[in-house]
Amino acid sequence: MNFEKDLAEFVIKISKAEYSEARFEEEESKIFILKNGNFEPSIEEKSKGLGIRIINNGASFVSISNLSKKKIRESVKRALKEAKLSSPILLSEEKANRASYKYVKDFASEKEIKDFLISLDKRISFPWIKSKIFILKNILTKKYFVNSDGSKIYSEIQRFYLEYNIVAKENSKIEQRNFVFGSSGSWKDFLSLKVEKKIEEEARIMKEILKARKNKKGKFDVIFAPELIGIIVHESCGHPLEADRILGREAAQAGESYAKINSIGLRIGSEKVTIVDDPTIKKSFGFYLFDDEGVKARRKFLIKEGVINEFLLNRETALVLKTKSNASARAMNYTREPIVRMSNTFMLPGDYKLEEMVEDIKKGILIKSFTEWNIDDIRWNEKYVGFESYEIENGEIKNFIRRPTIETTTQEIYSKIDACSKDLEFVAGVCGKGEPMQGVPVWMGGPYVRVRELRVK
Amino acid sequence: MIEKIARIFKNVDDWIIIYEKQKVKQIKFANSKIVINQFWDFEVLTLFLAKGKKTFLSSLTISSEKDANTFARNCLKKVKNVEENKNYFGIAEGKFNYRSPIYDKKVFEYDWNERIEKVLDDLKQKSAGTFWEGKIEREILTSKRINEKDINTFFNFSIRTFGKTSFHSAKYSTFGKNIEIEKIAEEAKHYSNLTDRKMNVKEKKYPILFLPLALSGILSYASLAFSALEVISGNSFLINKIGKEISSKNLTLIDDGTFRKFDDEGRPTKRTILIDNGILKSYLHNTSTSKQTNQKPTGNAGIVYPIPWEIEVKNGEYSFEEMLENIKEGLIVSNTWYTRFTSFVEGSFSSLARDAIFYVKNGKIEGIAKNVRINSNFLDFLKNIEAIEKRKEEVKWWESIIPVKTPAILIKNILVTRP
Repeated sequence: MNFEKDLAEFVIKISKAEYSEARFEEEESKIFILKNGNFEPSIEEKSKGLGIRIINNGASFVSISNLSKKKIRESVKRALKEAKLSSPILLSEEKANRASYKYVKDFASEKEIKDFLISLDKRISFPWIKSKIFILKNILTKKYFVNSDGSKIYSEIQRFYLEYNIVAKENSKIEQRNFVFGSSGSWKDFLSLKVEKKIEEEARIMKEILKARKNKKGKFDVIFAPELIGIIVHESCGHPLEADRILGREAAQAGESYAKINSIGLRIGSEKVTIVDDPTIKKSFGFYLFDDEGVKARRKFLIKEGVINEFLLNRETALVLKTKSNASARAMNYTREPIVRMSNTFMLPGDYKLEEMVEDIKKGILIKSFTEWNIDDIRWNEKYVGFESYEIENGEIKNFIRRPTIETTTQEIYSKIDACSKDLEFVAGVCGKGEPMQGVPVWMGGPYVRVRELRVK
Repeated sequence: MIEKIARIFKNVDDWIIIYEKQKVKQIKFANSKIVINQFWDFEVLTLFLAKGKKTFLSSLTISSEKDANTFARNCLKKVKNVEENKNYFGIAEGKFNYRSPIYDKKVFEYDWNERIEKVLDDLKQKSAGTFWEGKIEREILTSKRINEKDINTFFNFSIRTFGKTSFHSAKYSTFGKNIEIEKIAEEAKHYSNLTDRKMNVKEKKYPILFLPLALSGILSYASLAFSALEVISGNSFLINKIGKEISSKNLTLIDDGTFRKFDDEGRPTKRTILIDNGILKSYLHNTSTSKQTNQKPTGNAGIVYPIPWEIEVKNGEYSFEEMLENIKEGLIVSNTWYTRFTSFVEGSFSSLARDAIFYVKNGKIEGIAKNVRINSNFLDFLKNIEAIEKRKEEVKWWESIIPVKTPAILIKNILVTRP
């Protein structure tokens, strides 16, 4: 990597801008696709290049794959020119960091990965399963970040990502599950998620879900399992507390936010609700120790005991809000500018056991996993459709029910939470934001959470 | 360079080499100011190799020619060790006629920054969006003696402006002269200030007049169901529906690949009629899927996954005013986002109306609705088409995966829900 480090540093040397940063990245992806027991072509992608961001009055970003010095000189010149055409911006002052870290550990052989997929396929070969698609990606990212403030950070992170799509059919009924698992570190870390057991269990119960009756409509106490609470906190806490959305920079794309710049201190939920974003969790899909502006990562308390406590900030938004960055700037790779992103967003556990939370419900629903969901562009009006879902009657979990649908608001969910379990589980996702689109790896999760009196459709 | 790589592959049964040079500029604006200018300059090599049924696909961003040659040699070693792909049935072969490339020779010669700044100043209301300008040069060389070059250009202006309500307009074209940013921005401003009267919408079924941008997200997501590979894999709401009536008779849906010369196997792209007056006529194919299904190839390779190029709805017979007059009580939805399927095999989905949602009573706009979620099954959505406008627009914005050419469409019985 020495040669490429030199190229990133060359950018800083020749740029005469107020601020310059360069990311040299090399990413290798191996993609294995098993569709209904048949391997599609093996796919390998290798991507290497420089992302150059310059602030010279305004901001510019130039990304190149040709790494000749001539091309780099041309690109820096172009970036300097383009930056002058943008409106002025400033960045918060941050400590210059020098670091090098690797989170790779062992590699997986192709045979191990293929055998794993074949065994997954066999495990769910039930008569009612009519389509099985598995896509497993093994991604190794090597990155060298350098900026004109003096930061120099090298990192190597390996990630594994499994996306699967299962279709179950019986008589004329169809159920479909499309979901993902992901982790960073080693293949063993990925295997420790025990995804094969979870997927087998899902495929097994799809038979029951096909037979299940539609839930009764009305108001119910709802227990959301960690998978649900993960997507809820990601969509209705993490996204709306991204400071760039609050300040309008994403207005024409991912949208704006119900939160305003003066929303810090505003109560939005019950005292049981504390939601954090933390990139430093080992094994997590959203793992990093320094962000893509060179700032050291830390846990952020977005909502603390029901009150909005902190936004996700990069250096630009931190300066506007007269504070310091909390290391939330991420770029998908060297082809993208760093923007404000989540990492691993989750609700902190409480002190209940799941059984205690169920015992206290007369008429309720437990939703363990979901299919469809969506949310409006200020992150207020949201919908979740249950996949594995049960009715609760007089303190007992009873029958499967089919597709209970919750259509609610952020405040309604957070303010009606009265109990969180001691558990903490995560699911993975590739979060989309920015234009051009940037998909970044994240975890999301939490405990089992009880929400009183929600309208269920 | 690609001839050198071809020599490395001389003992492979089938191979495809695609060399692509991409230059793209983006101007992003928010809060009525240009917030960043971005530029991408890439060279990408895509290699496909097949030895019998063993297939290997790879891509490399090229940092030097030496890197590319080393990469090709490694790919050659790897193809021997991969699993057999039973669904592989070869690549495009034959004598094809190709169109000349269609592109804007003046790409990167226009001064968009100055024009955009003036537009934002003149609007005098908060606005955000992007402008895109790009040129893609592509060369393909295959083991079936196909060697062709192509150039594509594209221009895309997308603006969301905030008046009494927000309104989003976007236009897409191969040619810069077709992107009249001043006119697009003025139109968005006009519709964002039509009315500020708030109307309450009940949870029930309404006829909805969808504007082109509102359809672009829904149609571009749904277009993936036409990919033959999704059909073969059992993941599409169009399985076993060829020859059947799947939509209202007034709908003809086309995939238009003619903005580029050839697909990723080198087969000429074309206009493929997917739905002809309500009847499903074709899926989207590469060579392997067409042979598996005994259907004609359509020039939509994706070497692994046949992909839609640009979805087009054929013009209807109505003026916008005539369609509006037809609505006793309904909505005009100007934009949608976050379309998600409960099941892609069933086609059941919901999508959120975004930006201006106009409430219509007896053919007249009476106010603005908020918090509207559209719930449907894509097949019902198509069957319930009542009327199609006689003019169409070519649009693309952040939410649309591919460009879409569509008129406004009036669809009855759309279930609207709210939190």
